[in-house]
Amino acid sequence: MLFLKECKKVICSMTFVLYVVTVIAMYMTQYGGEHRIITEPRPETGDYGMTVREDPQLIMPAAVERLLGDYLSGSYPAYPILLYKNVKLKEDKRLEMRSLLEELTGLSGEEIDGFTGYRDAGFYSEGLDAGGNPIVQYQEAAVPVYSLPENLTYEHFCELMEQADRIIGGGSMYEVKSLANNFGRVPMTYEEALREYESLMAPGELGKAYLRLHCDYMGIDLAVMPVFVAAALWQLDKRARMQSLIYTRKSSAIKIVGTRYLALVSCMAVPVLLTLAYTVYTTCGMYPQTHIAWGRGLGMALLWLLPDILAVSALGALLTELFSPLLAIFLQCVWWILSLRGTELTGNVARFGLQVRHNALGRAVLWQSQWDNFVCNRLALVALALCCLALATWLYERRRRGKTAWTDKILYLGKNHAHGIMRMVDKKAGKRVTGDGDV
Amino acid sequence: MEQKNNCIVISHVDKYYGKKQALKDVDLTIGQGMFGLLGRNGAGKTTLMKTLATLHEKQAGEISVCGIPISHAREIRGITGYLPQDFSMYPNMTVHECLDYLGTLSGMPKALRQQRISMLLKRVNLSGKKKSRVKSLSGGMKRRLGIAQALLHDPRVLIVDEPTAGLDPEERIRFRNLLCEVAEDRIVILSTHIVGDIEATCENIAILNDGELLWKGTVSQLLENAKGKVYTAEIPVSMLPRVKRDYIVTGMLRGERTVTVRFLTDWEYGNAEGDNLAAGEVKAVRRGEDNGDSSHGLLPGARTVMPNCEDAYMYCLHQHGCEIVGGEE
Ligand SMILES: Nc1ncnc2c1ncn2[C@@H]1O[C@H](COP(=O)(O)OP(=O)(O)OP(=O)(O)O)[C@@H](O)[C@H]1O
Ligand SMILES: [Mg+2]
Repeated sequence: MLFLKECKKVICSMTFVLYVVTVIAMYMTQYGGEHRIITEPRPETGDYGMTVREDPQLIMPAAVERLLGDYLSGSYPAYPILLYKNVKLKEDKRLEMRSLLEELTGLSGEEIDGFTGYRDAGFYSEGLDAGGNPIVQYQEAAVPVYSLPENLTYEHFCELMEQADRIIGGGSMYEVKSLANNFGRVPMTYEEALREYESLMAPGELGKAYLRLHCDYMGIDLAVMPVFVAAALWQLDKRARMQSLIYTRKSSAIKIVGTRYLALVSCMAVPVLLTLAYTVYTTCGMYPQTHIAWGRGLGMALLWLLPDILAVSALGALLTELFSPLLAIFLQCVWWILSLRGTELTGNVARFGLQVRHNALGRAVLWQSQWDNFVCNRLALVALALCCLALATWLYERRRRGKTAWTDKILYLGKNHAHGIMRMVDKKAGKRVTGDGDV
Repeated sequence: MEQKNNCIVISHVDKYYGKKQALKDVDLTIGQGMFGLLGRNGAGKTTLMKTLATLHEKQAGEISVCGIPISHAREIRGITGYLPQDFSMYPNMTVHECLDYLGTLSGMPKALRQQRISMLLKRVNLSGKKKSRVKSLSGGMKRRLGIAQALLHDPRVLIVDEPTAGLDPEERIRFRNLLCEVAEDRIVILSTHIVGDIEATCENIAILNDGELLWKGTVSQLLENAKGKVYTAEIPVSMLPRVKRDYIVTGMLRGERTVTVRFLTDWEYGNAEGDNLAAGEVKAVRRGEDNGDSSHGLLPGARTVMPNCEDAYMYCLHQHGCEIVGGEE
């Protein structure tokens, strides 16, 4: 059976071994250490972790203070296209921001600009102690004294924040959707902790809590590692100089590419399934008294992790077919790094993106609020995988018939970069000369 | 019509690599049996074979294989076995695994695969290597494995590109015999530089040069064509440079003080042994410009011999105005 033969090719490759090692290493080092047993919160401890609250009274002062600080320091951290950037504003934008701040703080522009004692929040050394060592202490940010306008509504505040975000160029801390996450962090109250606990004790939820954390870590690995295996498998025929032997066989491109892909994905799913099984096993061990319903949790885990494997390997296969394995790996790594930096650790699942994060044990209420986005995100990845696969199949048949793809020409041009460009320049120059002559 | 179903018809085929034209208006019909493709390096043999194996698109012309137009790639692939000039297989797989894999891709059922693989490995003398990894095979063994894979699915058309390169004489003979057996009820196209292989196996041949079909016909026609143009003579060593300059030398055997040369010329010797007495125009083969040396052509003691295939091939190239670059100047 072709499928089993392809599986054997996958399993016998070095990259697959590398993949398995990273999956196991990721599991052991990241998830493996996590063994907190969820217990009912007890009022006397007084510490129930942090939560995010969409509370205007909390968010507005914190956000304004931060914005004022950013303004005074002259730089605004942002992720405009997922990539971190310290935005510096031009003069006209700066004035625009200043008038926003005037409205938010009630201070005049001169008062804001005239403030000289600005200091960022952070650790500062304050003189020396008796032994001659510097005393390091945390200091709040030092900004001018101001008060929020009394009639400022939260809606209007959000509008102003939207403007601030636009001035910065997008992706800033003041994006309305991430206001709560950035400025609404507070310690949980006992009631909230209890509600959180109770929602975790609902059927199926306990297992889900552990699986979410499991998937959170595993997703980091699966968002990049499959590309190595895929690129290696797709390059194998060429490396072995076996292409024309396979090209001249009767099997259709759909069968060859499809079977290969299926084998690739199946083989890579196996270690993932095994780690999931292990999580189920250890979690059951942690709650010997509790019956945990695993069904929906495992369904969620598969919906979480399989699309990663599907999409990353399909894209890797396509890029290898199109350009080269190195480029496929490079591009996937770039995407991976960008998404790692651009994805919030908990909450705010993007509708479209490579990764879903939920780096918390529990926080079930927050997770529920992101469920639709999660499903959308995963289905989008599956759709991407199918598109890539269809394109890769089409390209395979073309290459097989010696219809050299336009990408070959691009690569060819790339290789003869200097030469090609020189010739193009020459041609253009030549044309222009004759054109002038005509005039 | 029935005849058409048993042969490959190539008509007016052009093929370009970018701007370079690799096949120029090639017109050829290849019937059952062995068919030899000859031509120097870069003549376009591989290009033509790849086109027949659906690995290339032609830019113009028509090709049909056993009545199937070449654009029906899948059907063509089903009836064609192809041995590329340059290939290898997954280095870490065993010989048997590789063949099994390729057989699966040809859609062969398992039992048939097993049966044909062991039969073919025996025929190419690789039975003992069944369990060896491909990377441990020698160059010649790999080539034999290539032959086995081309025959695996019992194709009606077999295309083999320089299959005998790198084989030892014993294996070459063995392989030629295998091909001849195979060719009994099949079309076999063979390209080679070893003219001896063609002589021993092929009925029909074609000679390509620079993408153009230079000549087509049977081996005996080719030989007939060169009849009376091939001579041997025993000459003093000192004359060798001159002879090399004036004739196409196809062989020489050095003696103590003399050399026996075998050469081609259009010149017909009036005084040579044999019956070709001065017939009409007399022309000498000269490479380079004529320098007025009137003594050329007249080698004492030269006598005609029966041309072999190699002579005939060289003569054919020469006859069609291809410049033949001979020995050192
Ligand atoms: N992929 C390619 N791109 C551009 N030119 C090519 C390509 N393949 C072959 N050619 C050119 O086409 C011509 C014919 O090549 P081909 O390989 O068919 O020759 P051949 O008769 O098989 O030669 P040989 O006896 O050396 O195998 C040559 O001039 C070669 O340089
Ligand atoms: Mg060739």
